[in-house]
Amino acid sequence: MNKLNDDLLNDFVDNNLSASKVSEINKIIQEDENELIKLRSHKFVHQTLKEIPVDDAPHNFTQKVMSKISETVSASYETGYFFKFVIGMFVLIITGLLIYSIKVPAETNEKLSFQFRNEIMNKFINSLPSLLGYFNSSSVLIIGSALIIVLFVASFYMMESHINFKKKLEHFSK
Amino acid sequence: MKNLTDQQIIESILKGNNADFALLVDRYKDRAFSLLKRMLKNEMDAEEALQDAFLKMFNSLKDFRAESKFSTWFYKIVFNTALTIISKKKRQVENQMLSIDDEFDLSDDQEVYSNSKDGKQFILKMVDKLPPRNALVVILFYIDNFSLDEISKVLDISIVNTKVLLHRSRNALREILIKHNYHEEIL
Repeated sequence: MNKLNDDLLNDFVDNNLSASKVSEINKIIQEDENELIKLRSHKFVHQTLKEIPVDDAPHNFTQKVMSKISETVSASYETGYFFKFVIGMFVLIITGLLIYSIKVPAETNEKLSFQFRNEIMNKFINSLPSLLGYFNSSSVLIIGSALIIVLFVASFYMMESHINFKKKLEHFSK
Repeated sequence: MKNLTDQQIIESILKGNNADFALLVDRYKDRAFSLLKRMLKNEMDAEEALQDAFLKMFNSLKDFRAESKFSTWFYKIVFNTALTIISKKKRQVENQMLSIDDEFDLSDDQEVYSNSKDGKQFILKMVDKLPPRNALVVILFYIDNFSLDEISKVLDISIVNTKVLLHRSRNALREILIKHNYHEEIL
């Protein structure tokens, strides 16, 4: 061994060499000044890197992060309560509809549906009597209501994703 | 409060004391900023990445498993955030994020050389010219005193490859030091 290779130099500065290897290195640098320059330069780099300065984060950085976090937390609380309220309403409506369909006798139910149909027909859709024929049965009414609920849920999620998307856009534009 | 360990602070935050998150931010912001500045080569990008990293960290604190060191987990988030910023800025990620086997070139050092008063200043400025992954290894090793094993976990590469990155960085810095005859000053 008469030259110092990169591995040897790195192991030297990391103190990963045996005593015999170190004495070999000492012999080489005594004989060859270029190898001495290499070793000294490598040690110098190692020592200098230990002095890399730590830069200060921008002024008020902690406050900025904390205010963003409190915005996130309060937004998630608001979303959580709104979501619970909407779900609660849906559950209440579905339960009400189920109780109504079970408790009210079929005849009465049909009668009420018929009255309802007439009311709607008189007021809004006189021209579409055939369409209202579908509402004669209570089960169709329940299915219809359930579909409307599904529509409400879907639009709620659409609205939520739209709000999140807008928030992301605002975040990127900052 | 300042003497709390990272784990104690995390437990407090998870109990609902969100204000304690400021302790973690204060503890890591400067070192992480130093790292990001050298990876992204730009202060504004570094600040943006640092904010993102802290927000991501806050949102995933509940997923932190105490088996690993918190700082390793945190720097992994910082590193991945930096990568996202680099790709968002449409930089040539392939060129910036060299593979372990690729050599990198520090020969474009004339400006740094002419603005440095001595070898030490020259080396410290040239650290900023290292490719992002090499810069990360150097900073974590020398500023944060991470072991090669811990750095390998942050980068998600083997210890051997981590060692290669560190050694290549030192070798390249040594070579440019000799190229500019700074060794005369050292000897």
